Amino acid sequence: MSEHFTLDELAELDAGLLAHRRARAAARHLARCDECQARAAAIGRTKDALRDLGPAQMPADVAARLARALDDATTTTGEDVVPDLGAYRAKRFGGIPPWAYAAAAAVVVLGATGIAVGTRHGHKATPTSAAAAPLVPTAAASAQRLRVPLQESGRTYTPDSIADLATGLIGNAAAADTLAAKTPEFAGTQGGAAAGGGSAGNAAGHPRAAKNGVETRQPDTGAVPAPAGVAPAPSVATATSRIPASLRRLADSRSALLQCAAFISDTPNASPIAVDFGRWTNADAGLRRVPAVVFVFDDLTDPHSIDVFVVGAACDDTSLLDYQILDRTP
Amino acid sequence: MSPLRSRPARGVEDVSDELLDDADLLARHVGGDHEAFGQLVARHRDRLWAVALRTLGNPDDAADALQDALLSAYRGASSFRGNSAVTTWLHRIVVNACLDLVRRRSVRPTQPLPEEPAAPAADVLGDRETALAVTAALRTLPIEQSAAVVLVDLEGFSVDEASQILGVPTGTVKSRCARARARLAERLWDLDPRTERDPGNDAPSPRVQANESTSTGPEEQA
Repeated sequence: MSEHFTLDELAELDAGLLAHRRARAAARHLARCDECQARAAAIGRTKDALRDLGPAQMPADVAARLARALDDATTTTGEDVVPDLGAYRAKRFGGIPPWAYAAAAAVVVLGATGIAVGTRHGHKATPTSAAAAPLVPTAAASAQRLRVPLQESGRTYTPDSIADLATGLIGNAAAADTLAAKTPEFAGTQGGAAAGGGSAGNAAGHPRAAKNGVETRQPDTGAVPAPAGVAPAPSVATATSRIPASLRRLADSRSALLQCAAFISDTPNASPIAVDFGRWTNADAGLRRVPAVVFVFDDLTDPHSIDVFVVGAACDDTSLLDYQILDRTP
Repeated sequence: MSPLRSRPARGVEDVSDELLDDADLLARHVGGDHEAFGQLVARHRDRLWAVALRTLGNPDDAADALQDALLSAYRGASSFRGNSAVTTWLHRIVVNACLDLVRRRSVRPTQPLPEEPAAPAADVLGDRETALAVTAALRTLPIEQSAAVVLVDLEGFSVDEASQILGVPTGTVKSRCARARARLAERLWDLDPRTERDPGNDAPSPRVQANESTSTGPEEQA
């Protein structure tokens, strides 16, 4: 009879930690040693006993205490949540507009805009309810002339796939509906000024975009015509079933969509060159299959680039899920 | 007034027809939805409570650790690394809070208490007494071991998941679990640990040839 095995070794054997030779020796030993068998079985019984402890229920007083603590956090430190995200995005994307924080659902917009990326006016986006409303006085005018390849692919965009998918969107006229083909319908213009993001940089060709925030991409100097007015594509039956319900508001109303495009790009006359309704997954941000609209715009400062916005369904000041400046041709 | 407060949680009703998963809720929280984090916590609170309670072995400490953890998760949600499940992330924060609490307060030593009397042998006890004996024995483990064994054996996490939660390699998880089980078995079943190990034991005895059993021969190595 070989030496007995210690409890530690038997537990290691059980956990698959013993080296092969030692494990084989233990197996041979166990086959003929009742004492070690009993001790090995005790390891198994211990695991059973742990499992049998079963679920525990949080006592009501603890639950109440935690609820209070979280409620306090909402009132006293809730603002911390926002700068955290902003800092994260600033690191990753070179900064974002102050209102551009993650929202629940997303819309991806690809299009032509001079975006004021990188203009974080301090940490606190302090939109009032009124200011948070998308502000696009000129959206109606834009809608009249826009012919936007509009898709409802329902597919899931990710930070890694967005470049391919977005450039694919631009070229995929065949599968695209057009905004212009949709029933003209205007929700009316809205007054007020967008909070934080402001409109100072909007009118004059987006000077902010040239100044900051776009360092993630090197502007090329070659001139490429910006395909702002994409030819109308054959109308495609609206694949409503693929659109998350929360996106219906944007999918069903051209003016709502254009308002969203203008708001999210901080550009009154925003003319997306492609729009898709789908979902957004960003593992780094903990977002998975969030209903989203993707807007693609031409980058006004660099004809070789496009600006892609992924926007949540609410399309308010918390709705920007991602913003990337991408090469027009991958 | 927090901007998060001032803003209605838009969109909640927009997707009421969809079943929100954990990631959705976390995203909503990051987006300013005041209700989302509470919903997320409510969904997992019993499980998180069980982990904290059984790792720490004391309801007051568990409540403290859980509060620290949830506030930390609340504030840090935007930095959540989505390469793991939300539950894994939450558990990681809770377990870390437990470890922090123990280390900060010296709630108990990080080494076993050899002088503590052994719990009564569990095989002569009923279920309820066994449960008490198990929880009592858990308290005698170093916090790192109890955290590992609670996650794997009690909560049913895989070694991989526990490795993510604890932030240590899978081999370390296995090793902590093995040591924890050995210590617990020793206490619960009143066993002789035979901790004294013969150095010559490391080589298999050449005399033993027969009866090779593969059922207990583990394939994986740490």
